[in-house]
Amino acid sequence: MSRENFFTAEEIRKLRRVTLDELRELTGDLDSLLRRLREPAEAGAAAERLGRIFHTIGGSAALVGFEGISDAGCELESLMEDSIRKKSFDPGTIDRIADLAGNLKRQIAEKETAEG
Amino acid sequence: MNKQERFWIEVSRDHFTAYLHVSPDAGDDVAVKEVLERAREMGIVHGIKDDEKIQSFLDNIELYDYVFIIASGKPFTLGEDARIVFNFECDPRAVLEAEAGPSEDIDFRQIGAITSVNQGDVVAKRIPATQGEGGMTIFGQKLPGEWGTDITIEAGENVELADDKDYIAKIGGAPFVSGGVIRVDPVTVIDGNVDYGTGNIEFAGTVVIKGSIMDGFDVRAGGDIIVENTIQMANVHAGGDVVVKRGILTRGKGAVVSSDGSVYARFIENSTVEAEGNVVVETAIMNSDVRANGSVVALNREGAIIGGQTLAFDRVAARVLGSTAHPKTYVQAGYRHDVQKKYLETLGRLGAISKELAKVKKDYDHVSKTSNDFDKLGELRTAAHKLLKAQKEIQSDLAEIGATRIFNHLALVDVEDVAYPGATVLIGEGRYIVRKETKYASFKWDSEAKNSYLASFDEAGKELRTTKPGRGNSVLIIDDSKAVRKTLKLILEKIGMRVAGEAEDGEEGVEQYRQLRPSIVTLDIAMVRMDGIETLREIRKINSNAKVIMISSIRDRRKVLDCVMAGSLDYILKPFVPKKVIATVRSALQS
Repeated sequence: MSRENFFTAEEIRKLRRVTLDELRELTGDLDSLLRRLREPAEAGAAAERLGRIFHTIGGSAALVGFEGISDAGCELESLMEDSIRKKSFDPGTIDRIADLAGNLKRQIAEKETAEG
Repeated sequence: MNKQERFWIEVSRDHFTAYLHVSPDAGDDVAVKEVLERAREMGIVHGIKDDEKIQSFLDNIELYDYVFIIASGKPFTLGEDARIVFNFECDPRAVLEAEAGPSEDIDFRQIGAITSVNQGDVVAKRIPATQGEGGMTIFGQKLPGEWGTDITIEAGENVELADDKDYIAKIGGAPFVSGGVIRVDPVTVIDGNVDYGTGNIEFAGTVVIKGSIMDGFDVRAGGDIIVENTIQMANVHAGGDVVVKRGILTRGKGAVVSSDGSVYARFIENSTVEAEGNVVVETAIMNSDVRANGSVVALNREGAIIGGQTLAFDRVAARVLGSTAHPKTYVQAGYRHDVQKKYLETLGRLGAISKELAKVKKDYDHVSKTSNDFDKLGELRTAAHKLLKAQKEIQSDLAEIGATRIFNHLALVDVEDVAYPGATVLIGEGRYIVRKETKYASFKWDSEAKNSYLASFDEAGKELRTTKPGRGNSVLIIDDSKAVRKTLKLILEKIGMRVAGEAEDGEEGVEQYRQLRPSIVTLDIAMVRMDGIETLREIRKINSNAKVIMISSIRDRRKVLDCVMAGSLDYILKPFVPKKVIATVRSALQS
């Protein structure tokens, strides 16, 4: 019983709408959090918050078939976990996270356009 | 533990984990030495983290959310289950039997394949269970490893079990596994059809027919009957299974296909089929009389039961029941077909006698009011007396049969896609008439209401809802993702459950649980403020029997064991599919 057989088309559309709203809300603070990641005093808390955001994105996007967004969320979550574990937020890693986060936001925007 | 302290150590109920809690006000005040001293005082001797790790936590308590696993026991492991290794290519029927019932994953091309063994060959070996590795709690208590589950199959006809492990063929023939018994049948092969060239067939072992069984012929076998093509208007009986690679088409002319085992066929059309075990069909059962003392299953992609009557003791399961043409389709579950047949026949005889008796009484009244013919009245009295005697005897027969007519309260009828109008479902004496297209229908027996009921995902029409509303079907969803909460809610409401409440973090979840007391909770593992494990513990403090299903990202699956040890009933990994959610929740409700 796949999602497509179980839910009606309208229900899938509504679930995707709710998910996209949530994704938009979650990624609203990304830029500010990424800036705080570059501040040693605030990096720990910002990293924790970012890890949670990416974890939630990875899980909820996959539920409605947004595999690309889910994969991006999971990859970012992994990067955050590594950095937290090493307690290291070097500029190179932060830049990479920022790039991937930008890509993630673009994918979400594209999905919003596609879903109407 | 005294929460006024700067730190305290909490030990899990199973003595496998010790958690170091540091008060947020403690700051840098806590030293590794103190912590280790406290642990020692508590008797914790095994699995303690090294000083460096503890220090790292104490230096970054905020990052760790003030909690740290300071000691971990070594869990004991489960040994290997015993298993049977077959030294021949096992027919998929053996797998179906081992899984206690047919499923939709049958490859009908593989069923009925014959292999052969020689006298003295070891046809199967029993590998005994092993004991797992021992464990140790954080208090140093040793725990033995657990033994795997034992398993055995019976040595049947022409097989002997040597040294409790080797199953040896006593004759050359074809090995079969069916109903938990391994046997070797002598095999006879008919190259072609059973027709005037072969005559009727009667054989003690297994009969393999490379063609069809043609009209008017009989085949009886002590073992299996395997037919490569079709069974036409023929009487067929197998002591084992009947396997028909194509279809059964006896065309309803008094011919019966029956088995003391199960019947497998690609399709059944206009036929009468009886099985002591299951009847399993790849495509459709059409306009047939099919009876099984196990289950009747048509769950492959095109599986359907259309028209006719179908009876099973355990379960009738099909993708589709009826059709868009709304043919009368009767499906009953809960009674053995042989007992039910005798019961209905006897009931029929009783009805006929009662009707005749009523006629005689009516004639007697008429004669006594009109002609008052004494001879005629005498004849009618004698006839009435005989009928009354016969009626008493049949009532006594009915009572005897009734005593053996056991009703299976767990019987059910499952329709995976749609049930069409025209279908009537009987569970025991409860009758449900399908009046509109109903998706994902499951018909069951309500022991309290003494009636059958429908649990359906179709939201159209109140009568399609389960007749058992209330706390038994309520759920509390705790998850910090709105999308996940919404998806779960939709799935659970579709199967007739009531979502009592939703919470987006653990603290809110605990409070809602306290107020609502739902029978099931779905709980995300990873949440802020209070994570899933902590929430689970708090809920279980309120109700130690709380049924909690953890929802975990596949990346958090290692935490699932922690959850199970902390008392969760089951878990679902994200991203989940509706089928998995439904199966897990149903299982939890029944546990």
